[in-house]
Amino acid sequence: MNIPKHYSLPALIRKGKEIAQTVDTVTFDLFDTLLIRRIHDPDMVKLPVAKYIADLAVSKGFDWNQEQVQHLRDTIEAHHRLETGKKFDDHEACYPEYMKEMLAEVFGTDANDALFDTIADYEVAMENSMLVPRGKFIDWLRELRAQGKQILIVSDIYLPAIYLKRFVEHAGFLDLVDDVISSADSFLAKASGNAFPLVQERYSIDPKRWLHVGDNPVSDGLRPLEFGIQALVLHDASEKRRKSIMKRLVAYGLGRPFWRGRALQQLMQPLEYENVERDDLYIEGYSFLGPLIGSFVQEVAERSMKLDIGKIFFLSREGWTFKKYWENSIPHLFPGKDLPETEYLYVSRMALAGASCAHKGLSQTKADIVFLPSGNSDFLDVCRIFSLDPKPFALHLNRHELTEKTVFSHLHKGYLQENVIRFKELIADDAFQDEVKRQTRPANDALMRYLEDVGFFDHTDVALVDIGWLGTIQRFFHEAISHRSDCPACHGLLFGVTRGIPFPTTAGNSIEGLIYDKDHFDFAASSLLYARDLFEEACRAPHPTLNGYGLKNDGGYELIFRQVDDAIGRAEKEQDVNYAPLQQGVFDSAKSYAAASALLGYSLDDYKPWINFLLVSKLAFAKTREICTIRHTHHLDDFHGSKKVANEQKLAPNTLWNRSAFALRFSPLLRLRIFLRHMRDRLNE
Amino acid sequence: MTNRIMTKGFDLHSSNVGRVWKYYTLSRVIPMGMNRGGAGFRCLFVFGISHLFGRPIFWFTTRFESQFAQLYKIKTRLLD
Repeated sequence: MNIPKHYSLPALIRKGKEIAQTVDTVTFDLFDTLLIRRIHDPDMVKLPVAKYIADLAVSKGFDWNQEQVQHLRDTIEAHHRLETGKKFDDHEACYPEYMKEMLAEVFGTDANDALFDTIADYEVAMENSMLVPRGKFIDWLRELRAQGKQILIVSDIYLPAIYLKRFVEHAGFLDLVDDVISSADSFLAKASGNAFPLVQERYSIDPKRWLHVGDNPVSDGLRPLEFGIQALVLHDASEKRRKSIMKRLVAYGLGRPFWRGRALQQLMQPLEYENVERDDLYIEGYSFLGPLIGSFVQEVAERSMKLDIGKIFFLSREGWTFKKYWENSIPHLFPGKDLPETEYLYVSRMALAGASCAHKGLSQTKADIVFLPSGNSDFLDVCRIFSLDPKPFALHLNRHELTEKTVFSHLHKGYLQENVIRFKELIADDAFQDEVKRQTRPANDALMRYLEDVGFFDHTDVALVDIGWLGTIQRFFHEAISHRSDCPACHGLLFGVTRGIPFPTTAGNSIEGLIYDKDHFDFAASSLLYARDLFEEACRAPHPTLNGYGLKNDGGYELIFRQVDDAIGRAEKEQDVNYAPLQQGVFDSAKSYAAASALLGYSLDDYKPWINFLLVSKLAFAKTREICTIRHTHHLDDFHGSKKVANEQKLAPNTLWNRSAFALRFSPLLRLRIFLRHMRDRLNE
Repeated sequence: MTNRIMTKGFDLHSSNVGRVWKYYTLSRVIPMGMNRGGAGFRCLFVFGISHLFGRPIFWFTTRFESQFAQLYKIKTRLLD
């Protein structure tokens, strides 16, 4: 019998439209016809479900792992199929029946309908995240609906029709079909041809006025033709190519970890009508920053569970993006785990600097941090950063032959080494320190009230998640709270750590860069240093920075934010608008990331080679168009003072990302030269 | 400017296979950092073909699938 095969979707639909004029009913296969899967192998969707069941079992005190659960499921399903085969022509299985049997074996008497529903819901959610409706088919369904045809979906699968309806509903075309029929309900499948008489009888269809469309040459081609139904079979070359690429990415990733991250991105890709034209910034957010932030947040979750963290505090302002990404991905990625609580914490270097001096005073290291940026030069800059009133310090400065405007930075005119020595003596002066502590105490008290309010001291171990670099925020933060006996151990989990000033690591206060850490020599990841401001701006929250913690007269506290109506505030807003598509791309990638990563079962360590490739190719060897599109126009840094340095141009880091478009295009071997210089700098660090 | 996240060749628009090729080539000459074995020439070759020239190849192989299956069987029989 000649089975009418079509090798592309438009060709099949063209033929289908011709035949549809002569029929009253059109039935469709569901999987690989109306719906396609992002993954090449449908059985891979079962793996995260097995992990979920194993995690739930462990949390209830049972000793199961993912492989054992999967093996049990396969064994019971195979047994059910064998039993069905004794009574029916088709070797079908019914999901609720075999899953309930499996759960009873795993959970014993703890297994019940509620547990089954929870697991079934997760499996449906995983399936939904992998299923995409075929756009052109849905358009045709609409036409058929408008013509008044009866439309049915007939599928051979272990899931009963109620679950298939949930897939169709999620895909958005349940209103276009009259009913959904599954072989799991009747054990009469298309494979044997027994499903067709059942459908004919149930819906009183004349086989001569019936068209069936599917992808299987036997079930959807031969069997309906034998029953006298017209049939069209789709042999989609394009789909075979897509699946072949996906299959190879997964297979190659087993032996070559480099491809694991690429497989993740392939699974995250939008398909069919999801893949619409997007702004270039959105694409960079979705395809470049999204996987970076996703793998970082996943690692934060894994570390937190390992370290038994009670609560995760995402530090403002970059933590806002990390927290939002967390909320959209981590609960889907670790459904069976007890995840730590999360909280967004309003902090900033400027707000914490003052509060950190209330009990320990102003240390030499903290004073040195002030003079790292070239915009700071004198004691007034120290006062600005540590929120000190300079007037009461006049006497102390006089005593050490200093003034408010004595230059302490070697980058500025008027710098003298003896003044730095006098400044050190001033810092060692108890009377000076007493004045510092007196002035900064209210800010510290307000900070304590704020932290008590958010439950910071209710845990023994907390994680502080931030974008990172020097770790100054956590340094100031820990100094501000370390006087308390209930101070929890602070585990800083940062995106990147440069350690320009050695961090005072102790058992109760540590930082670690998860994507880049200077202490773990990872040269490719150090490409992050090409455009740190890009990451800060891309992740920055849409609220102004925090200037300080104010103590109210009634003993309460207030968070004091920076004004937004000045030139810098307006520039930030402009930058927010500019980066809105980039941030949208990042957030839209969160759910796809969670589904893809859950399905592949990988973590940051697996994705790292691909992430390193992304960092090097997108930052160190970025195309001119990419740099011009992605680089930010404004970046606020209150910490950096306003003093000008004579040779500022020479001091500014001469990186790829601040070059003109002309230089980027025409300077010979520019990227390679800068990359080699970057390599030399890292080796000399 | 606008584009699609996924190209017609099922590749990433922003980090396509050509870019991986460049990275791979450069990493042969300059130490690029930790890649845990890297992309591998064979894998890159297969992806290069699949993404860039996969359309005519799959057009052909899908139409003559049964014939290819026969050839594959013969090859397996001979080599095993």
